[in-house]
Amino acid sequence: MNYYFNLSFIKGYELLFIILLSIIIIIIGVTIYLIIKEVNNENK
Amino acid sequence: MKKNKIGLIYFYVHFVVEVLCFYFLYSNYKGAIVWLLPFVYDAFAFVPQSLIGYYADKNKNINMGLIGVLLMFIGYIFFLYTSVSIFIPLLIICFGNAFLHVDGAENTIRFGNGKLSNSAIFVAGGSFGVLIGRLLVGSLTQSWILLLPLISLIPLVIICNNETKDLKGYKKYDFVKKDVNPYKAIIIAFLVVAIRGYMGYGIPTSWNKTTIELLLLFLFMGTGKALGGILSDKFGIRKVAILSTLIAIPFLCFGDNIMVISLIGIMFFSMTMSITLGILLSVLKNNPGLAFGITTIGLFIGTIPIFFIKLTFICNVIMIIVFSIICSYLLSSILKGDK
Repeated sequence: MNYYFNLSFIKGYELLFIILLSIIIIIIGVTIYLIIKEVNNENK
Repeated sequence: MKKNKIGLIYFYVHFVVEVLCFYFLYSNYKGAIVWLLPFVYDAFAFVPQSLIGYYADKNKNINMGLIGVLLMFIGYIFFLYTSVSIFIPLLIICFGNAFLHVDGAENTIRFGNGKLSNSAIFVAGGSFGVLIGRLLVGSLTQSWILLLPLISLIPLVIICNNETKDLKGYKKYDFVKKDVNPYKAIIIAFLVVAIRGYMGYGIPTSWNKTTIELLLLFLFMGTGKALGGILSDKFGIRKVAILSTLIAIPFLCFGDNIMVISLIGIMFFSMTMSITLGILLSVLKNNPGLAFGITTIGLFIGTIPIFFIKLTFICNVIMIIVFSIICSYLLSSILKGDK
């Protein structure tokens, strides 16, 4: 397969990129918690 | 309010929001941040919508649209009249965008009464806005003029929120088979959105070189999104989900150099957008905002690989065929049979 993996676009902004990813992961985590909570509520 | 009126109002709202966002993005689309900027935009405009949506579900009296307009206004003023880092107006505009998206989703879903047309028409407005925003860069001499359509949204979001805040139409979406585990339905809808998000960037379109061709591409994309909801209401969601996904395959694969064929494929391909929202609304009946937010997270996750990986034409074609068949099977396994 001819593909390339490119991370060069975050060069110089590594810290910003890590903070950004952390925030995204936290939001997705909270969303999963909310989904579980609401699905359980609706099936009671 | 008439049947599809709220969908059309939010079509305009969505259109204006995306015009501003993409005018802002493409005006700053230069230098080292050329890739980072859209990545940050995608992350902060898409991902927080689940939390904002959940908050909106629990606080129906708060006008999310007004907050969105205010944030976009502040962000755009920062962009026009200050010399702060580009990431500050970007983040403010992203959050404004997210609030307005949630507002549009909440209102069109509440008003929809179990039908997808209004939400689909609302979603379609974005494609046209993205296009016009991009085209305006370089041709607009006075950037502040874009604040006028933004201000015109204020009365619209106030009226629509007042009209819909007591409606309970969001409880009437019922597209998923009774015996399907709700988590399975959520995961499938999420996967289909993510795959669709990724495939959208992998569609071979060598024909797309001029502004007119770009215009047609977005026109067909927007029309497909709207038609997905309208046809689902008319002929049944299961039929539309399976047929649109499968019919799109040959058109997408063989349309690399032939515009008309490719455009038909893109139109069919875009139809699943509102169908996945319908699935999520059916299992999260009291949380339309959260349901909408899950689709936007899926879209973000689906677009992440395009920033890192580029596949060849053949890989893209194989991917379109395999993923489309998988999506079609997954959707048919959870959607209720049509009447």
